[in-house]
Amino acid sequence: MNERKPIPFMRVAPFAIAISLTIIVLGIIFYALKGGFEVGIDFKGGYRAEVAIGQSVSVGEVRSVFKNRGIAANVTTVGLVTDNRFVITVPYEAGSDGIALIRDVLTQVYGQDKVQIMGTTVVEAKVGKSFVYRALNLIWVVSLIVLLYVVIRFDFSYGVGAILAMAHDLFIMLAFAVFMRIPIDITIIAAILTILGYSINDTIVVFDRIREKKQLAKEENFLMVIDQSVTEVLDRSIITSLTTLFSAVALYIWGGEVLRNFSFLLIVGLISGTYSSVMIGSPVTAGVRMLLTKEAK
Amino acid sequence: MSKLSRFVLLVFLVALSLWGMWPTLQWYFVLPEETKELVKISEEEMDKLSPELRKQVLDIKALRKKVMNLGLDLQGGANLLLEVDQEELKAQLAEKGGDTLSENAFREELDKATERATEILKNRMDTFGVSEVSIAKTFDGRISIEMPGVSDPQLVKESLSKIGRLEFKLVDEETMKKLRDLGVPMVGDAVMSLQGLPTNFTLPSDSDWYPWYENDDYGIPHLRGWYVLKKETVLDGTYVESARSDMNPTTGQPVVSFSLTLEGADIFADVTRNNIGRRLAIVLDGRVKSAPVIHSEIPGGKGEISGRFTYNETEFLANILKAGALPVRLNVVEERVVGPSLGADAIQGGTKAVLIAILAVVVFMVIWYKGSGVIAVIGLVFNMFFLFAILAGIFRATMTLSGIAGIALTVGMAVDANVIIFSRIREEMKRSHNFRHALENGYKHASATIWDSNITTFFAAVALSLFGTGSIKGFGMTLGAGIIANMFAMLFVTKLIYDFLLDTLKLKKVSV
Repeated sequence: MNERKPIPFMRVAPFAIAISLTIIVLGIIFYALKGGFEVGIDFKGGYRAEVAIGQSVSVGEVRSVFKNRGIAANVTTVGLVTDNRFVITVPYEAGSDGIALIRDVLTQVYGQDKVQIMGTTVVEAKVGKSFVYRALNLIWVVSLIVLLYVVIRFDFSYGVGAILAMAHDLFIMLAFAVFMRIPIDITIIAAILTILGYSINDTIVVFDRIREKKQLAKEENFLMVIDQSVTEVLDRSIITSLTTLFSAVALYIWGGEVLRNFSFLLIVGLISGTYSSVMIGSPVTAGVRMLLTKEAK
Repeated sequence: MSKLSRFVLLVFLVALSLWGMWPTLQWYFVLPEETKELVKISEEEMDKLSPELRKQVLDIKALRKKVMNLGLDLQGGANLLLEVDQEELKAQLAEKGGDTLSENAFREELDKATERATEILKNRMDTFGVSEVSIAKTFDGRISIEMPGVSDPQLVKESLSKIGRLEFKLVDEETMKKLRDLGVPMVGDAVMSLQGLPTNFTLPSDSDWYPWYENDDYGIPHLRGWYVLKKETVLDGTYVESARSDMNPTTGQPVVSFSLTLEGADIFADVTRNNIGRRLAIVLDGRVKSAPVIHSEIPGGKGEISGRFTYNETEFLANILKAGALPVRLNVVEERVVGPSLGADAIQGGTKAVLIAILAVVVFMVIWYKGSGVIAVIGLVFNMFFLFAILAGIFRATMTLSGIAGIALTVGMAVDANVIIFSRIREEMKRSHNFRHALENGYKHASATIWDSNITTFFAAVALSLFGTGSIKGFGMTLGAGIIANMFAMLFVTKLIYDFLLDTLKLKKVSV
């Protein structure tokens, strides 16, 4: 039998874990410095208008138009720069009409026929929270179900490994959300849930192979079994991440503004999810097993 | 299972899927725009149409219900989220009850008020000037109104600010009897249709036609028939003090018991004394909700409405009666408007992303796995086909932009099962050079892994669709449907193709 030579993954695992922890700790530091996540108007309330302007203007010009009038507006470009399309948000204020404010300011500067409002959103300040919190709670429910299944189907040590791999991906994605100042909204939660599903899927493919190989080996050689198994499923892991990345990148480039942050976090999560099955889930499982056998002695 | 029976099963499932998707395909690709416009005809307008045209409208409306819809983010439209003004409700309750309510009792009243407001809105939904409005109470006690194609919801917002007008009007029994004697078809003691009334029939000047609406199982009001009511309003909703669903102690039947204000009690005693045996219609915003018979004089302002009601019906009616006593003010707490061009952009961008993702995956699979790659691509086509069939035929899902994103991702992940199988076959090929053998072993070993990895994701999907709300629920359902379609296409269909190539076409091996 010509088995492939195992790649010594477990030897580099400690460094990998250190890198992951660094990213997560950086994320926490950024989180503390910036005073939490960027939140979308879904969450904190506000007025949001997507506008098209019928002449060439830069995003900086639009920003200063609002700034000069003392309005705390947030302006970003949508699509190509040549489209001259912008998303403008202003904070919520009871009793005022932020959309009318945006429209009035822009028509004053660019003229009525040049300003076209494509879409608007108004969220009152207190509405968003309950919805987002409820969605976040789902993450715990899903994790619990996964843990239960893995514990029943494999054993406790794999369950811990799988859950920590999932937690890793969650924290890495949240860290990138903080770095990139991506506002947390409902699409971002959908991205997180997608990745959790993907991550567990990937982890189980690796674990399945480890379990299969383990039947032929002694407990002491568990780390070697991991290396051997990961090497064998490596091509599958890479190919599946690749084909899924094709989709995520396609969404990032062509999916439009609404899906941009969503697909960015998907790309981060896909890489993290594939990596964590090998570098987090497997060594953690090995560690838990070592602790358990020591205790048994 | 033999190859033939598996093939028959596949053909059967494809036929079933086509049948499930047919209304959606018909709607978006076959029917001309003029025919689709017929959906917009309201039920009262429909009553004036010729029987053939009416049947056509009914058919198209029935078809419309089976079609996979586009979300507001794709087709453009306005979505309003409304909330009952809690402060005002509190003030009203304090005025009525005197002492302060407990937190729980207030929650209950708030819930009832929201339900009542939803009813009142549904009752006038076809006066918004928009077709296909959907009005629903959300999980967190708000009311969501979705209006496709509306880019300025101002008109609707004005209509919202009006409180429900509750009136009591006497049924014109003489005219109703005349109609029955003339042989006009009746439904539940009301006139079935205003079409084909005898020419010698004239309406008394002090009476008028009022439509009678009844809710269907989904809580959507439908026109049941027409009453002739006296134009004069004998009592209006402001005289109602309270109403609740109750049980008659002697008959044990569900009834609505109500009490009126002092002034209302006097009027009501007069009306009931003079009109025993007649019906008194409860009219909300010009539509009859119920028309109970007055059995005896009701002095003291406390009465009971009995009939062959179910408990739910009495709850509903009691809640309506409170519309006058507790007028609800609604605040718009969220408003989303997607212009039609923005929606079109989203469809275009999303479709492009899906197509490019498919293209990239197809090219990659064929280059990497050659012949087997082609089989995987065929599997992918079946996967997409079954996914749409489940979404359109079973879930009647609404396609949103995040749904399109979900489909794009499904494309990427779909080939995973085949990748697992193919790399297993490659491994097996190193051990034995018999392709058939390697194939069987590959499928056998890989299946366990594929099942394990998909079942956990499937559980997650089920949890999301059970406990999630709104777009998360939809996402969970798409994910779950995607897994079922994927498992079937990638394990069952691709294996069948291999067996066909190896056994029927007698190929020695398929490149992998």
